[in-house]
Amino acid sequence: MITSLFLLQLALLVFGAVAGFLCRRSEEQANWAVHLSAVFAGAVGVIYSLTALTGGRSFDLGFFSISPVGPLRLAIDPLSAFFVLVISFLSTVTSIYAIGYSRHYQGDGRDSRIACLGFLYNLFILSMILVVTARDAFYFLIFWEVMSLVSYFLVVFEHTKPEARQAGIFYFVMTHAGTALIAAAFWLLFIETGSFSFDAFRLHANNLPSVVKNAVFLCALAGFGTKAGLVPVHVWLPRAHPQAPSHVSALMSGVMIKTAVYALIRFLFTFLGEIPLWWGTLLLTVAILSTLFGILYALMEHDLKRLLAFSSIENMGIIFLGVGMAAVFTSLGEPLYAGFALIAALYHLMNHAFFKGLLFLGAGSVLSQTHTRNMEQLGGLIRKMPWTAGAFLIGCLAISALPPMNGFVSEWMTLMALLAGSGFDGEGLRFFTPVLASLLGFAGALAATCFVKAFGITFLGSPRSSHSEQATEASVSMKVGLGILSAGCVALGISCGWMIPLLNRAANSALGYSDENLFSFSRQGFLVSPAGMSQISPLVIFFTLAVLLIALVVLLGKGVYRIGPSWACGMPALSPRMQYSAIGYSKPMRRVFSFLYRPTRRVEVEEEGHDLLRTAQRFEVKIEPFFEKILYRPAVQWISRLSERAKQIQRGHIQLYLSYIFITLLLLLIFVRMS
Amino acid sequence: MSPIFLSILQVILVMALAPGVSWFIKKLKGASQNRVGPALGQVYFDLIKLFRKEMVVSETASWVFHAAPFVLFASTLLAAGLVPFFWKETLLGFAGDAILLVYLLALGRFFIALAAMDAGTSFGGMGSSREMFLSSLTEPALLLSFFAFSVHTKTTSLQTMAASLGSEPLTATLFFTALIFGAMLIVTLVESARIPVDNPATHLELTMVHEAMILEYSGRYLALIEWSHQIRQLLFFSLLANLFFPFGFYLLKVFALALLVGWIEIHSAKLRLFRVPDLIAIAFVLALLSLLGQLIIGRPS
Amino acid sequence: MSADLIPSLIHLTGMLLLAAALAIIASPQLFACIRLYAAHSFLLAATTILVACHEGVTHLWIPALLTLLLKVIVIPQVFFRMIRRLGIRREVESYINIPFSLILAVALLFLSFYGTAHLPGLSGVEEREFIPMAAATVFWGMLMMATRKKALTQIVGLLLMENGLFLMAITLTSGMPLLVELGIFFDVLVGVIIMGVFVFKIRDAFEGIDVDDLTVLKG
Repeated sequence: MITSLFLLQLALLVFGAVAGFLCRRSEEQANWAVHLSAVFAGAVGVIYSLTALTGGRSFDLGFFSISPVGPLRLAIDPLSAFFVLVISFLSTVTSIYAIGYSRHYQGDGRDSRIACLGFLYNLFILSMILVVTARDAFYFLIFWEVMSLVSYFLVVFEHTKPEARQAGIFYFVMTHAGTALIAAAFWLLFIETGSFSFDAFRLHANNLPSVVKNAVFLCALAGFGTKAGLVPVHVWLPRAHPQAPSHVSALMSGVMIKTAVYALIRFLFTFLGEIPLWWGTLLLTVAILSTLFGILYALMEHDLKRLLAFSSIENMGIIFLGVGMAAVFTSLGEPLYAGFALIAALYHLMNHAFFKGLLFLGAGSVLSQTHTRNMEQLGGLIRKMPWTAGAFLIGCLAISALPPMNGFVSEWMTLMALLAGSGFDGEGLRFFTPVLASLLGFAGALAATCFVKAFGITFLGSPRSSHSEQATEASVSMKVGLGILSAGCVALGISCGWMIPLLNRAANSALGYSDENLFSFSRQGFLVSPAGMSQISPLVIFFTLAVLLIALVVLLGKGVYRIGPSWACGMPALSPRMQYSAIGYSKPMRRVFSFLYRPTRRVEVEEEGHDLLRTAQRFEVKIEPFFEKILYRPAVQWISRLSERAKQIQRGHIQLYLSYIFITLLLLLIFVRMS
Repeated sequence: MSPIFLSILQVILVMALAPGVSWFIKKLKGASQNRVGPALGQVYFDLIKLFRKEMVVSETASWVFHAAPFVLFASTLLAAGLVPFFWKETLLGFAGDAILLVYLLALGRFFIALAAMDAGTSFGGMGSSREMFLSSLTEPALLLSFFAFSVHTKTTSLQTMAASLGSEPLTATLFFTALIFGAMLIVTLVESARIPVDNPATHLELTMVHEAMILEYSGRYLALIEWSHQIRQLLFFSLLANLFFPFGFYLLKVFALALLVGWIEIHSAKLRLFRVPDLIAIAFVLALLSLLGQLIIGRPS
Repeated sequence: MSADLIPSLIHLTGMLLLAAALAIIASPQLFACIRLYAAHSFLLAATTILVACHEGVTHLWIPALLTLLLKVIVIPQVFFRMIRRLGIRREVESYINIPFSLILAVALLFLSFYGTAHLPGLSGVEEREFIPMAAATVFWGMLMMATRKKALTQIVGLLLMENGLFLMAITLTSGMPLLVELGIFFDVLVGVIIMGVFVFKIRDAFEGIDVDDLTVLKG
């Protein structure tokens, strides 16, 4: 049954991709057809992946064969099933949301816009499902490339905006550099094993020479790290993600970058055999840098979607902290701890898909109603869009890792996994793991600051411009999408005791352990860390909090109150422009971390006559993007200098070009003869 | 008496005691300035009066403004359920640990910082920005103090941590607990908005942090906020008292700590906002040092 | 309990020595800096006495008392006089800010811990823990000398280094021969006085004691 459901999902997605072109008559119909089939495909995906995860069932399909590489093999094991589950669930919700959201692409003259969007959108989901189910490096790379290309087209979907085109080029170049490295990693494995099949990689895992192993690991880390948005190869992410339509941004941040985690887990724990300790250390270093840089830059952002994109980098860092600890524990030979760390990573991955999806969809609702992403123009939306605001608040609580939301649970698990490392010797683990844990706590606190700012400036106070004054609540389908994800954020938080067994299976299969009942980190809704370090029960916390709140409200109520104007220090009235701005809010942080941001400010004053009566004032703060400056700008300069040099061989004479070809052929002939 | 009853009683006692500790510090300050200071009843009467008074709510405020005091109070009480005060048994010790404590306090702060921005004044935004700024620097210091402690105790459960030092000679652990105590004392000063960091008695915009945030509140909401603030202060005092001094009479320890904090408040001037990170950095480094010290001194030969 | 008391007190004073040295690095005011140096020296004397009691080496009492006399009382007084005569109050100026220099200091401590982990010939537990601490104190002194702008704080850095070396000496060898110790103390005293004279000369020549001014002396 799983097999047929899987095929049904693929078929529905293919149908969805072409459905838009079939309904040429009406854009409305095309919109419904495209997104409804994606909704159904997602629902089907959720059903069979859950069956596969709970029942421990799997399938293995072979399709047509191309002569040198063998048949296309698609298979599902618990790890793939887990990723299919996350992808399918989030795509279901974003598709529901997209029905309402895509309306603003309707009827602006070019009738195939919706069909185009639907084609790319469905193909995008399809390619992600195929990436996590492929069992062959060759096809994996093809699907990976399709995923990258389709997401590129989605980034430049609003191609009339110059910044979208620019972001697209950035993304295109970086993602292909990453793909090249991934291909190199697979190629090295192919040379050693003589096959593209994942099974062959697994069988040969322990025979790899260590030089090859290290090279494969580094290539894979750099390649997949680019897709995952790890520092310092993250720079495409905050440019590209905000440019796509919001439901696509949600998918990109929610699941697309997670496919890199999937692939890296496969590489680390399946293809490469024994792991040296320094791999884990390297992973942890990259992860903590991503966590801190991601959130520090998110804090400075006043473009709502860019802020969310930067915070995705932070969360990928948290996920990689879990993966890194799993690698460390594997190399120390501690399966129990490795399992706990990997479960923490997978749980945070799923939670991040939920709350980041929710936040991007919420930002999309704000964008579609106010037509601006700039927080300085927003404010007071909680009264115009109460549902969106409520959902966004839940997302903010979850991403700031506040109990009893889901973000807290996975952050707690990651902290525990890190702290467990302090019980072991080697490379300063004893000292550095508690420090890393406290830095993770720092990132969590910064995230809280960042999202207090995001929510407070966007939704609270009074409107800062006519954009936010004239906003209205988003359409029903968008509200439904937001509602499902908010419920999910709460549910994943309090039901973690029941989610962990599912993740157990995924982690078990990822680490290649055969013992079904190896991990028991949950008992009756409690979450228990290994070696009895600690336990929490989010369920108890949730209910106690709820009971306390209800008791307080019943006991005290709102009491007697009257409405009055805010205190304005005795001035006649407050203007919305007197409120704290997003830039002002993050000022203390900018000052303390000025060694990193290197802020420059510019103040322009238009003075008319009297010194105290200024008619207009412009204030601008810019921060310097650190990695662009130290890494990318020199690289770009170097490349352009190199191409200047290379231009010398271009003379414009056709005879010269022909002789180049001739010489190349001759050299090739000699090379073949020599080797 | 059953342990559950005892632990509920404990939380209620803490709620009753918290304003008293605040009073003690106020009285101390009064004595240092040749004033009589408030009578013991005054802090309680203040709360009762605030509960009875009519409130004025800003016209720009939304439901977040109304929800925040309740969430703050509930999360503080929940946090109080995790900490051992009079007895070792805690109400929620089975369901949470030190990390949960830190994040529960962050939950209340999150809502209050949002509510501050709800009224649309510049005071609120300023207070909210400063409070989140300070708290995001303090949180890692507090967490690292707990972690440095838990490296020794092998657990992050507050109950077990509090019990662990009692079972070994005090002098054997003094070398690292002394440093963690220093770190957590600084954190306590920041978290309870005491003088080197924040002035609880000021209404001057340059110096306000906590007060700027709750400027729009009045009546029973203000009472809830003040009360939960006092509970949080007592909570930190109790943490210091019970984690580091596993002997002696609880009330005595708490008032001794209050004396210490009051003494610091009397003898120091408020730091400029941008000097506070230096202070917090010292707390962080003390915790780091204690961690490293355990590594160096516990090193097998 | 009493058998463990002295070793655990040695642990404590060791950690407090580190904390005091860090406080010297972190202190923003010159007066506080010097008082903290006095406190550091006091702790050093206490450690020496404790080690003397623990190991039963009576001749360590003399350097301990000398430390008390010289470093806790005399040198700070010399400094205070110098400051009064120079007419300066706050002059701790650094090229890097305080939190960052603290973090650097902890990194140095970790490095010295990591670096001395496999040193041969260390036998006792005390030696194993005091060697990294003493090495770190020396490094911190160097850090202070390298990052401070003003001459007076550089001298404090030098004295901190000397304290670190002293700590290493008493724990590693239970004290050097008495004559050497006395010689070192004399050196330190004379050193401080000579440097004090230099500071005055610098002040007179450049109208300030910012050592950046000395860059004009190059050829």
